[in-house]
Amino acid sequence: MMVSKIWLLIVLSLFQSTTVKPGTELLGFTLNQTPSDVVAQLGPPEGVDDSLPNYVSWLFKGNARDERDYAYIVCFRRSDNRLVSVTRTFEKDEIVDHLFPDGSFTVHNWPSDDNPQFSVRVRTLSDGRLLLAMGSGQAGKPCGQLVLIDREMLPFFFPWITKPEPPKTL
Amino acid sequence: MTKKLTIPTVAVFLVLLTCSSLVAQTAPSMRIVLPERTRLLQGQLVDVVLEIRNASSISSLKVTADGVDITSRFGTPQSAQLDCDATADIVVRANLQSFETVGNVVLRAEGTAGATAISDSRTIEVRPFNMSGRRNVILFIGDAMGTAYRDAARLVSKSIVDASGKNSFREGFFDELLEMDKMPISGHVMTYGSDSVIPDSANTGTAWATGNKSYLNAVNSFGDGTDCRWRFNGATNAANLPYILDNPRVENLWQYMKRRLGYRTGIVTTADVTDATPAVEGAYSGYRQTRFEIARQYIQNPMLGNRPAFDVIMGGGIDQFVPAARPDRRNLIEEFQALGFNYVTSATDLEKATQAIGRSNLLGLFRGNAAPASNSAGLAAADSNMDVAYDKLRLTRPASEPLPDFGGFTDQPMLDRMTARAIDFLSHTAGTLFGAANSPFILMVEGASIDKQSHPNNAAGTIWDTIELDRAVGVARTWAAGRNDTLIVVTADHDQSMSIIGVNNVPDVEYFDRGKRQDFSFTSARGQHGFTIYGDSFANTRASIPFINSSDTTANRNGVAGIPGSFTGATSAADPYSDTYSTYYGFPAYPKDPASGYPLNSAQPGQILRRLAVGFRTGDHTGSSVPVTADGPGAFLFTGYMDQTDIFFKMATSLGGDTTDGDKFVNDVLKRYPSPIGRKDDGK
Repeated sequence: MMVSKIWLLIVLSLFQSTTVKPGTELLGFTLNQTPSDVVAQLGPPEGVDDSLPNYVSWLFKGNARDERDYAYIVCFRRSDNRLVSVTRTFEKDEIVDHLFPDGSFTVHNWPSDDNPQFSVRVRTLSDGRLLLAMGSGQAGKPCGQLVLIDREMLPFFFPWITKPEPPKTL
Repeated sequence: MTKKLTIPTVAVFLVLLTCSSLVAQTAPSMRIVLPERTRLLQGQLVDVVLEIRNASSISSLKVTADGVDITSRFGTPQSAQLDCDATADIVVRANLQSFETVGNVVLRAEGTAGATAISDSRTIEVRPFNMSGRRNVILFIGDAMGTAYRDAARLVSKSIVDASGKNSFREGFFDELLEMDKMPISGHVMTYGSDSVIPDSANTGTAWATGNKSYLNAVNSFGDGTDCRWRFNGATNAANLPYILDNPRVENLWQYMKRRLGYRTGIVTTADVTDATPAVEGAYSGYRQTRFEIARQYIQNPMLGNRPAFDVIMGGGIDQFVPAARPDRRNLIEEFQALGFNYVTSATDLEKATQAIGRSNLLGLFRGNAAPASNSAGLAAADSNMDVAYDKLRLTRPASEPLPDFGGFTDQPMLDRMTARAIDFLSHTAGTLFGAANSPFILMVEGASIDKQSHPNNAAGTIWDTIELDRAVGVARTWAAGRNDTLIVVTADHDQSMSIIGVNNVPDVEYFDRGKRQDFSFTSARGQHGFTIYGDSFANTRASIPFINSSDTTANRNGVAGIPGSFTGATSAADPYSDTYSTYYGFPAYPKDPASGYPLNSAQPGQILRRLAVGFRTGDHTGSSVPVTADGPGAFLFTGYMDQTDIFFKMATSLGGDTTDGDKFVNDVLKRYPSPIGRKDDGK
């Protein structure tokens, strides 16, 4: 039932303006969803990029008015059709502090802590999931993109982010 | 006797099949990262990159071009992570290579990874380039300017009613055609990308700028094995910049001509100057939104030994150049000025700009945002495109279109003046005691918001921008008339979905009334949906609006085919069709502003106004072929159906080749056969 309510949040945020806090719907992705599950809940994607050997991306525009960006990019691993990441790109940068309560995240700087040019907040969720606030290394800093990713995929997509601590019970 | 497969035999077979499959998945392989149909000019620079997969070392590497060993051009093999998987990979690069031998050059790479021999080959077509020419090229890009957009510009700007009521569009003929209509040569261009039927401005620009196709969002770069880091999960940010910029690059015509022949080069656009269409003339990136990097390459171009890519740059986009926004805190405007660029920020200053010794170049940035800042991805500041022609002319927007906000930049030049000044600066170089030297040049001029207004289906915004581009074409044609050394090409990067659907008579009082609207809504399994109809809907049937059937008669099933007419509900007795649009009858009729020369979009006292009615099917690009028109030496090359990459080679042929025979034939034909009505024989 909880998962169904989260899916409703996803649909609402995708297709109309609501009072749902930005990015909340990402928490409803367990990364166990199959492609059929995604279609059943979100409808078919507006675009599919299958040019990579190992991954397939589904692209959802939603209410995005910018003709270049997609509101959601859902990435599957070809070998087992496993959902490995969901990227939520906002039309305008949003405050996402509600998703990163104090003490729940670590901050990672690229290329180094001494010379941070790009920072990410990383929160460990249950079941091996990580939530990343791209370009937003501290509370109050607007974020243009959230990424929900399988912890095992971090070395492949974001190798510069040190593996965070094992998940704690929430 | 038929031998039956026994269970043990089947089991062995299955094991072998599985093993061979596993071996295939993990076996080392080599790939030359160039498209199957790579075409280059003699001497055109390209990065040659070898990707070796499933290998931790490579030995006995040998690379040949038509049998000639070129292995020494390659750097040391570097370990890499390709395809975002767990296997070890290697990349070997030879940056900025070129091939001087004309013809099909077979590039072959081979080596040993572990105990496995690996190889790949690619046949590159190398085309000749004659270095003796001193011709100019002016390429006009109407972004999204497919056939219907040219038609709309003609139907609006050339259906002018004078004080006596005479329409310049009568009985199906125009008194005068558009400037681009008057160009003697026309053809059609296929715009497909390397990965999709529907392209974008970046990969289409790559096609005409380099002669090679690439994927959506690519700026003069090919896809490679590290793209998974950012393309497929959308993580385009500063941390992934190294993987965005490592894509193999191919040199564009602007850098090629400047590097080899000292040509002066320029870009003029109504967009942010780092947007895709101008970017393909001066930068190289796997992703078009790396705006800060694109601006940096304009002043430190990698094909030119870190010298500036251009002598003239004009458009919007101040934010990408200023330290307040840039992560590196550089002030690129001051750096350009230190290199001899005049810097202007208004139409007034543009007219005053002059060349002087040591100051022959021009940087004009006419739009910025109030508080320049980097976005959270760290790759760009917010777009600051110039305001559209309709708003620069201070025309009143129809009810469904957004009102302008100039953000303090109230003195922005029109595209024709930007083009005129660009030609002034490019065609001369101040710096000799004997006056300005004539210089050959290559210039790109873009009408950018034909596309940007089309995405949200703003008909007035897109049509007047097309008219603005046509006037800029007129400036170039006037300058080039009688010179015989300047090729002018007008085309689009891709199409959008606008079509011509009729003529509309809705009165101004409803066309402009923002308070008068009908909201429609319906519910589906995916939630609540809706659209709004304003009084201008019959002149602009947006994609969100179902087909507006003007008849609610029984024959049309009481309007069930679409939204019935009579939206306004106030039919004028004098003009009974004022609340509908007409599909089959009548012509547009617009008054003209004598001061600007542009059509007006509101009724003037004593004058008729009938607006063109257009419709949109989507808010996106389409895969339709687009027209190309050409004038000047080598123009005859632009006939027939062609691929967009052919535009690069045809421009190169005009620049360097001998097109005398073809040019003479075209001129003879033009003199001998009747001109179309509306194409005045004015020497152009």
